[in-house]
Amino acid sequence: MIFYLMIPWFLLLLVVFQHTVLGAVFFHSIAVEISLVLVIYAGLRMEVVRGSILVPLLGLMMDCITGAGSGSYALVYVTVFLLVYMLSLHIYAESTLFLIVLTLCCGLLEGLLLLLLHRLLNGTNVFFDLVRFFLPQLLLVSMFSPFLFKMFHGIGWLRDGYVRSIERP
Amino acid sequence: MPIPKKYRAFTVILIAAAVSSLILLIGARSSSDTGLLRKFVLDVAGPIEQIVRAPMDKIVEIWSRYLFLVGMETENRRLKKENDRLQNQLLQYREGYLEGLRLQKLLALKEQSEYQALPARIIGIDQKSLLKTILINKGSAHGVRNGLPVINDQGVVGRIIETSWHVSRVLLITDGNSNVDALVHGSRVQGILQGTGAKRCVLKYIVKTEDIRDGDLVVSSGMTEVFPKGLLLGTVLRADKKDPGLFQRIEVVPAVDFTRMEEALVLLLPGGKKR
Repeated sequence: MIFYLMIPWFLLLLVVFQHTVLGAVFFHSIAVEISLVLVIYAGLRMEVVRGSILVPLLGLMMDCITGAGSGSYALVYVTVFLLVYMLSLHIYAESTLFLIVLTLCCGLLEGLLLLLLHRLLNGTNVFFDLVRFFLPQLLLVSMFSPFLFKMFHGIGWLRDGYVRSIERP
Repeated sequence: MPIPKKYRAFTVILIAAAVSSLILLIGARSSSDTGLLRKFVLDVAGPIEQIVRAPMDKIVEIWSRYLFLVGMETENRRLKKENDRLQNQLLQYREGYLEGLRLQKLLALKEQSEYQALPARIIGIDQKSLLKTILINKGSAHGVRNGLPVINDQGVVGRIIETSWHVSRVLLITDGNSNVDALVHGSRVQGILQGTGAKRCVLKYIVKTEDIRDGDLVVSSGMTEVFPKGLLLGTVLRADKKDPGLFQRIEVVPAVDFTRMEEALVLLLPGGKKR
């Protein structure tokens, strides 16, 4: 129950912190998207129902704070969540290097999907943004991802003692 | 019909994806009014952004004013020369202004702008995501509405695309989605100034027969009634006629330095007049 009470406020604080504090630390030139790491964490470790509530809600908060069209981040995050969940059925990721590479791949996919949606919805071609904006921030967030994973794992109510691998046959 | 346990997890995720797609579709079809959740998040983010921004701005100021002084002497010499040149130019303009006043009186024209300016403080800059936007500390409670133009002392900043009660989001003219009706100051040629997503804009639909020079000023034409006529948009950086097609490729440097903005003016239409 505590999860459902806490999650909207936790996500709101997370996106605001990510946008304002981290944005200011990096002089508003690079976005450190820790929300993407939370999506990957949800896909790998969290219970599916909880993850399916957390991820679209997080996406909607991101839409609000970045000014992107409502549902853009939500849809992209759910897609990433689904792919990571499917991956988690085959492997139990513990290695630091694996987390870094996975974050890198997911971030790249996220960037491509966002730009594609942007093109479809607004008709603006900003694919060159992928190299200029997404790649540097992707490298940065990938490097931080193992640390962020540990941090999210430390938040007890987020998973409530649940670890996916226990349930798997 | 119960869902087999094997597929239950996928069904839950697919429902989440369907809900997200539905929100996306509704968002794409609905009017430009800002939703309640967006308003709420913007209003929460605004004050925090303001608090965080203040010390960061101070650090940047200390760095640029006291520590980063490389090339300051050359810059100083150049500025002194520029100052002399501008003093002479100012004298000429003053003469022209006085002449204009005399003519205005003669024609009994009263200078009257239908806009009211609302000063606002920049509380957040977002140039790293898909949309190039800034946040200002004035919202619908102060009379700000979507579509209103935002300017500062340097020129046109952009237009309001989203408002919460006390915070608004301004789409910068450098964003790829921004289109402003513009004209070249000297030749009066009209075109559309579009953002490139980077720090530049392009002036579109100017035929190759028109003579556009580097350094020409680009101002708003006032055609679509979003921006009043004659506001400075930027300066022509280069005009390229080698591009295939009917039109020139004209790169424009915006007049406003978006990285150093602190205040801006929202131009309000008096009496709740709508566009």
